Amino acid sequence: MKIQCLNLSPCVGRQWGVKTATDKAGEPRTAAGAGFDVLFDDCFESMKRLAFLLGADDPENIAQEAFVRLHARWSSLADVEKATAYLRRTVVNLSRSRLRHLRVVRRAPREPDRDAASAESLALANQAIWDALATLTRRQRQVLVLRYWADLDQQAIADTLGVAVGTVKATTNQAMAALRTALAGEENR
Amino acid sequence: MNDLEDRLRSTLGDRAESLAPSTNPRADLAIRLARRERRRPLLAVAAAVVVIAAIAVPVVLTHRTGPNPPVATTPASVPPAWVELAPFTENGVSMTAGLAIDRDGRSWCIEKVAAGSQPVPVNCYGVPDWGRENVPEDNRYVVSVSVLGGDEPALDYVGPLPKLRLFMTSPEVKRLTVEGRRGVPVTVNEVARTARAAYFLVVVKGDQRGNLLWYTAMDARGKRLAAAHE
Repeated sequence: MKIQCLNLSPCVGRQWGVKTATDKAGEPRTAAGAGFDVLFDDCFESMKRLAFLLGADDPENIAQEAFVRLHARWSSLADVEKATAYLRRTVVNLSRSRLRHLRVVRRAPREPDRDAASAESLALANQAIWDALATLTRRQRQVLVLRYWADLDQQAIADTLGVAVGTVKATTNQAMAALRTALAGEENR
Repeated sequence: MNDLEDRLRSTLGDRAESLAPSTNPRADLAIRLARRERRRPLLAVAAAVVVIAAIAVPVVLTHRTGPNPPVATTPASVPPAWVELAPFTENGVSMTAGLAIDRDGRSWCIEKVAAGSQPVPVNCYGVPDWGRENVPEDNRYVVSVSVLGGDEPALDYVGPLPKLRLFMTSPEVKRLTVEGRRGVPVTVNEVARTARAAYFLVVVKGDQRGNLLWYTAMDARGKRLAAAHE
């Protein structure tokens, strides 16, 4: 069975519950077993990136916390689809909580720590789009990230956010319109 | 797909890739999981503290409403002889717990009957001294924790309105401490907690002559189940 944390993400497919030659030797194993460890190895980075794209300033911490919570519920979620959907929901919710907290603490969230990010890759990124994303509402940003980075369909986005499919459609349209407006304003400056 | 969507995908992808991989995240996860395991007993203690706070606060608040609570003040207003508190299960049998008050209003007990059956005759009337409590005199309080479906009555205290504190000494045993007004423990009892046990905290106040003046009964979460002349 292939593990797909996010449709777009480069999660490596492995057999669940089976130790493979590519398992990281010497690394601590969790009590939940090999299936959980494989999922962690394959999906941790994707979940961290999801939190980062949603605007969280501590994506690693959020991804770790999501896996800790998954671990506590592993007996009822030991299924690829359920587990990855649970992870996505948890990351989205934790990112939202973190942003709320940041808003209270300092009104505007700071940019995530980019020490490790290469200057080259940052230069490649489209700064205007990135800045425009920051002007969207939290829900609009969530919808765009889940659709255009995670490649989730509308139903999956609705499930992740706990809203109706119609709300996803409407929010996507509003988000794209807001993005165009923000970009137009940027170009007119 | 339009240009904006392309740019959006590209930007998000580039930004995501710009995030450097974590170093040894599995070790970090192992530490977090171990820390979470260690915290579980502490969480149980915290939950126990919340429970006793829920019990103690209503008692204190009720006391602070005035020197005499807004309740019946004469023996003529004898409360009902049987006040249903809550259902519970004992050995798989559905039961109903109730507060039984003697007809003259001078004694009381927590009683249990099979669900749906008549509560009369009530044991604390028919069987002498079986779990029976006298209403205290001199405007004092009696505090009683009854554990039904588990152990026998666990604690009785007579005196001024006390502080109640609950400690979890292990996942199965909680310790209930009643303190006098100056913070001196006067009674300590350990209550074996069983899955099916039903806990009831009853506070009864008697007047100068030992006639029932006021009572309140709560479950383990501090939810008030019954009170005289609310």
